[in-house]
Amino acid sequence: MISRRGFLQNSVGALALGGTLPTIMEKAVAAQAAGGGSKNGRILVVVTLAGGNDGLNTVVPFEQDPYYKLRPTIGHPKADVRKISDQIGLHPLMKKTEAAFKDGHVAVMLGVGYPNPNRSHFHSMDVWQSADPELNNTRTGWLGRVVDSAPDARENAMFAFHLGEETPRMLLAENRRITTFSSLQDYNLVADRFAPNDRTRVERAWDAMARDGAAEAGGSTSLQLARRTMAQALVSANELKDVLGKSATNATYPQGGLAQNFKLAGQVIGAGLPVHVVSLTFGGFDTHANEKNSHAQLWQQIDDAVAAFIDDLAQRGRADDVAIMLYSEFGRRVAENGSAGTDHGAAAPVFIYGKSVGGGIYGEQPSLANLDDGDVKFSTDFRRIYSTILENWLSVDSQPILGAKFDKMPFMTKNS
Amino acid sequence: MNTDFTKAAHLWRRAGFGATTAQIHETAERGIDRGIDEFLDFDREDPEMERSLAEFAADALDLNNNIEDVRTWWLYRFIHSRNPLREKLTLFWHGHFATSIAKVERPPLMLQQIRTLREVAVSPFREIIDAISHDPAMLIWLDSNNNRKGKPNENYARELFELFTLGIGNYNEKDVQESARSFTGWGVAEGAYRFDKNQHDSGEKVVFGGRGNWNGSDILDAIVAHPATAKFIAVKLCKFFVNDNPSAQYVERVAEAFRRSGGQMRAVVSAVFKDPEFFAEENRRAIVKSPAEFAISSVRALDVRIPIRNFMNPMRRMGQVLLGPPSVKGWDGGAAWLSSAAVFERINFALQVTGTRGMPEEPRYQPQKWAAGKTFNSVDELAGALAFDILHMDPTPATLASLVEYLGPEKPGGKKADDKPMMEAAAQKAPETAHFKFDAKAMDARLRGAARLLLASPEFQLS
Repeated sequence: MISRRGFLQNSVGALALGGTLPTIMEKAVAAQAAGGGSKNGRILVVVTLAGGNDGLNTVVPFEQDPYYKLRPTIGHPKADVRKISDQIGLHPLMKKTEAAFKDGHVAVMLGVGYPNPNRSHFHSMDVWQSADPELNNTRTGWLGRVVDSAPDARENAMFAFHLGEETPRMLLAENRRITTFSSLQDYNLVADRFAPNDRTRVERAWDAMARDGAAEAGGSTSLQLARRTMAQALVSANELKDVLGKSATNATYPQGGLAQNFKLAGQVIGAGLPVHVVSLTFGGFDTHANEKNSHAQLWQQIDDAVAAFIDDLAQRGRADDVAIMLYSEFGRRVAENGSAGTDHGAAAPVFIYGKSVGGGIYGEQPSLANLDDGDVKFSTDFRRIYSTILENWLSVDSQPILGAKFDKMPFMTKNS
Repeated sequence: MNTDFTKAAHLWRRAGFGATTAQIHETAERGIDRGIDEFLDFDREDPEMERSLAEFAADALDLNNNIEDVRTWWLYRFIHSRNPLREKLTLFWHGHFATSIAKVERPPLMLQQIRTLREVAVSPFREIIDAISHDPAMLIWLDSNNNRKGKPNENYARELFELFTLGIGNYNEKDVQESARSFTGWGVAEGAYRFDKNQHDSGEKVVFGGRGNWNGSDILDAIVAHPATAKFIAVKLCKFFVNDNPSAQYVERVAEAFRRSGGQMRAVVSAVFKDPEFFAEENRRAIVKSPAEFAISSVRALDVRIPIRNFMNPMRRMGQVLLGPPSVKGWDGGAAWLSSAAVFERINFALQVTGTRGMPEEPRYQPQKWAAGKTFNSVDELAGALAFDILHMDPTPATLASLVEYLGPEKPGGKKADDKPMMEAAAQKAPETAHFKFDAKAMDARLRGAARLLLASPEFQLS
């Protein structure tokens, strides 16, 4: 057994669990040598629109009569939508998205869903996040499995991170905890103001509880979980400690939680950390009542925040390296309900923004004349999008991640 | 190790929010079976606590306008109650019928819902489901208010089936749609339940294959009798009180108590705590504490009081805003509580509890008092004693070793006053003997740090 003192001295630079790993210092130097992580440093930003985004009021099929018949109160008039083809148009407030679309930097996937759609938020969200419509293969998430399988994820606490309080299932991995935080100010161990110099000792002891403990035999699953999370927290905080001090750009982010999370993501990416996957959640889409205003506000925020983020990335010289995917667990019922809202539905559009994305419209807009119990039928399996992203963007084999091969789509042909 | 003490500690963690070592000893000495019966004695009130809470609320809280004050009122009960199982069950039901101020917007309605859940916490399930279906905050939260004849809103009916009673797979879309029709007319007026006859669809519906002119109460009767409900509630209870991954047999025994008693929650809760496996090794420390449990058990274990408003931001950043769950599904719990951000929040909250030197609230943490009169032959002994006093179990070897290292002699170069080697200070007092008594004063900062580390240890995160 390594002596305690020797172990502690070696571990001040805090390492990920398992294996012989370089210290933080060595890694930082290596990351800089690699050009701030931009060499093969593509990044996927996934935004989960929680609650079930009303796809039909986001991408409006303005030539389909049933749309106006079934949505007399909440439907967007043809004159108001931002037309991106002779059949469909974006929500009236998606001005910046429309501009980016015209520049060829937005892929709009129509009618995305899965067989036998489930109208439970939680079930359907699990389907999307696990990439397993049967929900019986695994407890992990599709991007968690990327972390499990990527060789460089093992030594890199910043390979993937989530901005928020709780790690989403999408990022649950078999062998790792995923870095999760909502504010860097709070993402550290606070010193006792009566004993400020004691902080390092406390941190060292806590680190040892976590990592020596994890190496002990016989710990329960829960105990190991706590230990691994503590170790992950210390390693990632160490990597993140200088992020706030540097890397501001002139990009102007609007107020609001979503924009502020994008701003934070921009700072972390801009600091040159070797990031590959970023996850954000944006809620409020469960518009059962009085939908028109709330839905408009949500998309206004998305439109502004995504544009600011892309601008920020451009100023950092990273805009070509980032693709931003927006999805929701389901769309909403075609017919509005009695409260000027909509109930849970099925297939809906997915958006992918990015300077390296092959912009355009993909898939088929579902017909409103051919509904399945009041809902549109899906035309594109969501796993085709995942498979394209995995192989053409993150350069990993999609088969082990998704459990099968799915036909790729040509929205990332610029890079394949 | 399954001594009466460790059993009593387990009971206090599960049926309550933890306790001091002295309280646990008391329970152990009176006997575990009696301890369980005392926790299950729901008619035992705590008038002293009720009186002090009423005084505190009258002085300091604005329950009509301030949701933080409603949270404070509730946390006060968790912190102070001597009869905590009813409080713990209220927290359980809040997570089960998860309703958020974010949409309800009216603090007094949230308070009313919590009072209702507390009141019916161990009532027959039919009464619980009846109370929540008529609860104004719930009626707003799941859009019952907008559920009108001819234009049903499915929100309540769907979540009632999926999350409150049957669970997914035990109903179909038609059942949801027809039940939504049955509930039409149930709404809120002036902050209270009101049935609007004109908005009720009295026509024929088919639910679970049964045809009739059903109303909301008929639907509630049907789901309480439905076999899936017993199982569903049993799973939820076992996850909350027994194990993040309870065994199928345990769940089945609790479900059987539900079926046998027709959903009498006193019998069901009793079955949870009197189960032969309740104290089994695999169920010990098998639940990740929620932020509420973590924060409350921290102050209760050390018998420290800090201002309750100091719980709010840390709990939010740990991932739990009471009266503001992330969705109607409540909190996922288990592994989801332990994100990397959350563990930092936990160790920083622990500092608030152990660093209480000049706080206004009493009692503060007084490590000198704890150490006074105790004799330790080594740092190991000291660390072990402190660990047992906070964890109420023997620490794992790694936790103990880390604590010894932390408490022990400093490496050369530790010069700062507050980094003064404790052992050196102690050794100066009695250099010639191995049996020395620590200079408690010199150790104050170090003992606070050690207590903080114990509250942040892997063991303490688990119930």
